[in-house]
Amino acid sequence: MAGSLDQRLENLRAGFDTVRPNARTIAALRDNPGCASRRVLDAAGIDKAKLAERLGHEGQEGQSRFALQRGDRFEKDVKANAFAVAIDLLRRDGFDLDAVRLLLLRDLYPIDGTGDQDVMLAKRAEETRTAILDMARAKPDSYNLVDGGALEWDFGGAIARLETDGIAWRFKDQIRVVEIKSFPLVDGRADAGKVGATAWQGAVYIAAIQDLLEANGMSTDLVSTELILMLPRNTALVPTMLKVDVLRHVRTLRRLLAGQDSIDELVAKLPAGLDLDLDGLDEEQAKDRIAAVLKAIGTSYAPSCLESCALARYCRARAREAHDPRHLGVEVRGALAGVPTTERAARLAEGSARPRTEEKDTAKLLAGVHRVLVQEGLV
Amino acid sequence: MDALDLYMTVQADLTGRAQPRREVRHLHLEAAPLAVAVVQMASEPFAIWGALVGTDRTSPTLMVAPEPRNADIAFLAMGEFGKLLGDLIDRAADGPREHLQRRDGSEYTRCKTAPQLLVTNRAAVSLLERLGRRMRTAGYGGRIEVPEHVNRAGAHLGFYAEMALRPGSSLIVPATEALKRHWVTGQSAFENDHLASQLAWHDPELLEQIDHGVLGGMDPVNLSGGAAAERAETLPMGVLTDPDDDNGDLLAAVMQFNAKRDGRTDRRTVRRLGRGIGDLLRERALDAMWAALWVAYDRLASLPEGEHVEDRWTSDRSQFTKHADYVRGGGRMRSVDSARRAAMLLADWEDAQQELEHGEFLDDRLAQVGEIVAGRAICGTVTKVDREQFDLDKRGKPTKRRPRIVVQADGDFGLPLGTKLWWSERPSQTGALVEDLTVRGKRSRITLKVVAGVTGPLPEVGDQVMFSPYTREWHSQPYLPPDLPWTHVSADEPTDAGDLEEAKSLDEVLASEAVT
Amino acid sequence: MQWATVGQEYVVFPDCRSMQNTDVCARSVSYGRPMTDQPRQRRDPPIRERLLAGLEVLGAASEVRTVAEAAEACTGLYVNNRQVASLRRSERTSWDARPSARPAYLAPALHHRGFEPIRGYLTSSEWDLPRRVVGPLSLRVDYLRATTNVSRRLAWARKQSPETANAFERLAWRLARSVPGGVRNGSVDPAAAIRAAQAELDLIEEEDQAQREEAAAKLEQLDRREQVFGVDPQSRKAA
Repeated sequence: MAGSLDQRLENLRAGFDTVRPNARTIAALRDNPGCASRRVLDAAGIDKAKLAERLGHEGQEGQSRFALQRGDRFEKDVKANAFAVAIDLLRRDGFDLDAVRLLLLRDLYPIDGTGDQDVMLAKRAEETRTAILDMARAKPDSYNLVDGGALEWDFGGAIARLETDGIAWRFKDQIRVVEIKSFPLVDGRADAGKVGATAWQGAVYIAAIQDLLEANGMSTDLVSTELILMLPRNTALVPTMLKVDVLRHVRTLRRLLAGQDSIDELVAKLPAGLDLDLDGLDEEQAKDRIAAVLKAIGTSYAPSCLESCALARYCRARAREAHDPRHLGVEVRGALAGVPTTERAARLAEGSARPRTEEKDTAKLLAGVHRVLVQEGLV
Repeated sequence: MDALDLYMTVQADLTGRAQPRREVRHLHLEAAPLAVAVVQMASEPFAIWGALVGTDRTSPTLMVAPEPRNADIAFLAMGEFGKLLGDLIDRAADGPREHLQRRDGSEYTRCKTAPQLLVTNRAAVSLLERLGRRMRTAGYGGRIEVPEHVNRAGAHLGFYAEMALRPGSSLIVPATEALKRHWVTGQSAFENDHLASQLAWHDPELLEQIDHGVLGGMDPVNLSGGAAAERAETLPMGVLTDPDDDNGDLLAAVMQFNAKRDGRTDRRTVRRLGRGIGDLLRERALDAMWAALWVAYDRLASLPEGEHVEDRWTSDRSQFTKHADYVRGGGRMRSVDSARRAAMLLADWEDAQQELEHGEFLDDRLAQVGEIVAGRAICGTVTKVDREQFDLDKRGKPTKRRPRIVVQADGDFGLPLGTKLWWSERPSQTGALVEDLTVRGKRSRITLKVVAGVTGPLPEVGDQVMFSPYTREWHSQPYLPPDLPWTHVSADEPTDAGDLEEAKSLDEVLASEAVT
Repeated sequence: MQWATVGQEYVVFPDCRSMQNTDVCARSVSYGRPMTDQPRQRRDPPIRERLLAGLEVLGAASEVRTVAEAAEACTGLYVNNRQVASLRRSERTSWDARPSARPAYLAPALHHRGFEPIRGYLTSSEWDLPRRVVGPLSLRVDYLRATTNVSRRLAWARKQSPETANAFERLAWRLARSVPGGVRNGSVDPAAAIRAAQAELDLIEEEDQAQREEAAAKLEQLDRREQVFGVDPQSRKAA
C-alpha cells in the first residue's frame, strides 16, 4: 500500500470514532505485545470500545465517578497552594529544591471544552519540551516543577500524546517523573498490582523523556529511572512518598516494542480496500466488516486482555467457539502446547486419535489421566 | 499443571459445564456461617458503604453508611458490624470448651465452636482486612470517640483476614476460592474470581436464584457455561458497585442525601435519609451477592466431607481460641509483623500446607490421579508378596525383617530408587522403599522393600494398591500452639495517631458536583 | 484602606496592609456560624465581597479554593465551586458594562510572558500590576506570603479573640503544614511557620519582584481590560 503510515492508518480508520492513546494504553501493550490488532488500532487512535459495541460484545469499561473523585481530591490536595505538599515531601526526602519555579501547564493552557484542544496541547508540548531541555542543560533558572507536562512518544510508528502529573528537577540532579495516585500505602505496603501498573505507566513517560533527550544530542542519564509516587498514607488522605525503580520496566518496554514488527509491517497485511468504513452497512454487515479487519491484521487473545482491552470479550467469544485453548489461560495453553483445540485434546485422551510428534507429551499425560479415571470408575 | 486439572478443563470446555476435580469436600462448613456481602465506595477503601450480614439466609441485616467518606457516618455502619461480629465471637468464646494437656503437663482449653465467615472472593477478604485496620486503630489519636468494642472487632477482622492465608484453614471462606478447589470450569482463574460467573458454569439455572433478570430471557437449560458466564459477569460480585450505577443513580442519591442531611451525622437522620441508598445498594449489588453466597454454600455442602477435614478444623479452633482470649483479655494487635513473628508464621504455614496436601491426597481419589499420572505415586496390582526377606549383617546373619512386594502398574514412574512411599491403606504405619523399577512397554514392574510396619498387615497378591509419598507420620504429635503469645504491643509504643488527621469531609465537594 | 460596608450586622474588611494595626484587626471578626446551622439569609454579604475579603486576608495571588477558605474563615459562610465559576463570568460582564461601578473586581492572576489568565488563581483588580502577574517563582512566593499573613492573624487571634482563632485554625493548618515546623502535634505553630516562610522568601523574593516588575512594565502597554482579565491564550502570538 502506498502512502505514509499516517495516511494508511487514516485510511483504515475511515472516519470511525477515535480515542487518544495515553500512557496506560501503551503500558497495556506489554500485557500482550503479540496482538497485532491492538497495536494497529491503538496506533490509529481507533476507539476499541466502540468497535466492541458494534460487534455486540461491549465491556463494562468506565470509571466510577467516586473513584475519580478520590483521585481528583487527593491530587488537588497534593498540588494545592503551588504544590506545597509535594515540595515539602520532596524536600523531606532530601530532594532539595531551593528556588521553586513552577510551570503549571494545565492552568496556563486549560482544556475545558471551550476553545481548541489541539492548540492547547501543542502549546503544552512545546513548553514541556523547552522546560525539559532547559533542565537537561542545567540552566540555573529552569523550571523545577512542571504540572501537566505533555510528552509525545513514538511507540513503533505512531505517536501518542502523554500527560504526566509532574516533572521535577533540581539543579545538578536528574530529571524526575512524579505520579500522584490515590491508592493507599498501608503500613508501608501498597497494592502490588496497582504499583505495578503505575510503574509501567511511569516507565512510558521516562522512555519518552529519554528519547527527547537523545533526539537533542543529550545523555539519557539525565532523566532518572526511579519513579516518584505520591500516595495517601494509611486510612486518611495524608500524602506520603514512595520511590519505585522502573529501569527494568523501561528496558522491557523498549525490548518488547523493538522485537515486534513495526506498525508499518502490520498495516501492510491489510488487503487494499479493507477498512472500517461502516457507512451504509447494516448491523450484521458492520459486524462482518470489523471481524474481517481484525482477522486480517491478526489477534492474540489471552484472559489478561479482559483487564486492558475493550475487544477482549469479542476475542474471547471467538476463541470459545473455536475451542481454542488460549481462552482457558496461560497455564492451560502452555500445558496443551502443540495441541490446537480442546476437541483434539479430548480425542488424544481417549486414544481415538494418533498424536503427532509435537502432541506426544501432552497426549501421554491426558491418556494417562483417562486411563486412571476409567480404572477407578471415576468417569 | 496438574494432569487431572488439564483433563477436566478440556472436558469443561467441551461440555460447557464445570467438572469436579475433587470427590469430597476439603473444607469445614459450619451449619450457620456468618455470610457477609459487602461493598465499598470506590473512593473510600476503608469503610463499608453497604453490607448484608447474617447467619440466616432468609433474614440478613442491612448495614449502610450512605456517605462513607464522612468518618462519623462511616463508623455508624462499622460499629454495627463490629458489634454483630463481636457478639458472635463472644458467644463462641464463652461457650463450652475442651480441656487438654500439653506434653509438659500444662493445661489449656479449646473452644468447641468458632464462627466461620463466608464472603464472595479475596477482594472481600481484603476489604475486611482494611476495615479491621481502621477499626483497630480508631480513637487512638484522641480526635474521635470510638467505643472499645469497635477496636476489638477490628482485631477480630485482622485475625480472620490473616487466617485466610493459612493453608487448610476454614475460618474464613472466600466462595470463589473454595469452589475453585473442588471444580474446574472452562474459563481462566481470573474470570473465576467472579462468583456468579463461576457458578454459571456449574449450572446456568443457578443464576436465576442469584438475579432474576440476568439471563435476559434466555433459556438456561441449553445455555453453555461460557454464554451464561458472560451474562453473569454483569453483576457486581466483588466489593465495588457497577461504575454506571456510581455515575448515575448512586451518585445522585448520595448527593441528595448529603444535601438533605445538611451536615448532620446522627444515627436517626442518617437512617431516615439514607434509606433510599440502602435500597439502591441492595438492588444493584448486595441482594445478588447475598444470594450467590448461599448458592455457593449449597454447592459445597453437596459434597461429603473428607476425613481429614475435622483435624484441620480443630487446628482452626485452637487458633481462634488463642486469638479470642488474647483480644478479650485486652491485648492489642500490631499492624506490622516483627521479623520473628513473620518467620514463625511462615514455618507454621509450611506445616499447614503439608498437612493439607497430605489430607487431600489421602481423602480423595481424584486428588490421587494427578500424582499417579505424574509418576509420584504407584497404583497397580500386587503380583508377589514375600515376608521372608531380611537385611543381612556382615556375617550374613539376618537382622531386620524386610518384606518385598512386587507391583505391576500401567505407565512409568519418575521415582528414583530409594524413594520412601507409604501404603494408602495404612499411611502412617506401612512404608517401603523403591528397590527396583523395570519398564516393559507400557507397563512397569516395581519392587518395594517394606521398612516400616514390617510385622503388620500387608497387601495380598491380586490386590489393587497405591503407594504414595503421603503419610500421616509427621502428624502423630498433638497440636501445640506456638510459644509466643499473639502480637504484643507495648504500652509506650506510638500508635498510628497520624491516621486520625481525617481530611475535611467531602460534603462541600459533593454539594457542588454537577450531575451530567 | 478599603472598607466595604455590607450591612449593619457584618463587619468591614480591612485592607491587609494595615494588618499591623491591631485596632484594625480587632474589627475583623469572623462569625463562626457553621454552615449547617441556618439557610442563606438575604442579608449575607454577596459572594464576591466575601472572596475579596479572603484575598485581602491572604494578601497575595492564591488558588480559588484557598481564597474561598479564607473567605469562610472571615465570614463563617461557605462558597462552593459552582458559585465561583458563575462569578467569574459575571465579574467580566459587570466590568464590561461599567468598569468604574466597583472599586475592586475579582481578577485572574496573569502569566508573566504572554499575560494569559492562569486558571484557578485569583487576585484583586485593585492590586498593583506586579502583584497580579505571576512569574516562575511567584506562585511559591505568594504561597509563602499567604502563609505568613494567615499565621500572623492566627497568632493575634489566639491571644485576642478565640472565636476568630477557631475560624482560622483550619486555613492556617492547610497552609502551614507544608513549611518545616509549621505544624506541631497537629496544631499550627505560627511563629515557626513565619520563620520558615520568611527564610525561604529571603532567598527568592528579590528575584521574583524584579521579574514581576519587568512583566508589569510590559502589561502596562496593553489596554485596561487586558490588564485586568488577561490575554486570551488562543490568540497569543508567537513569543
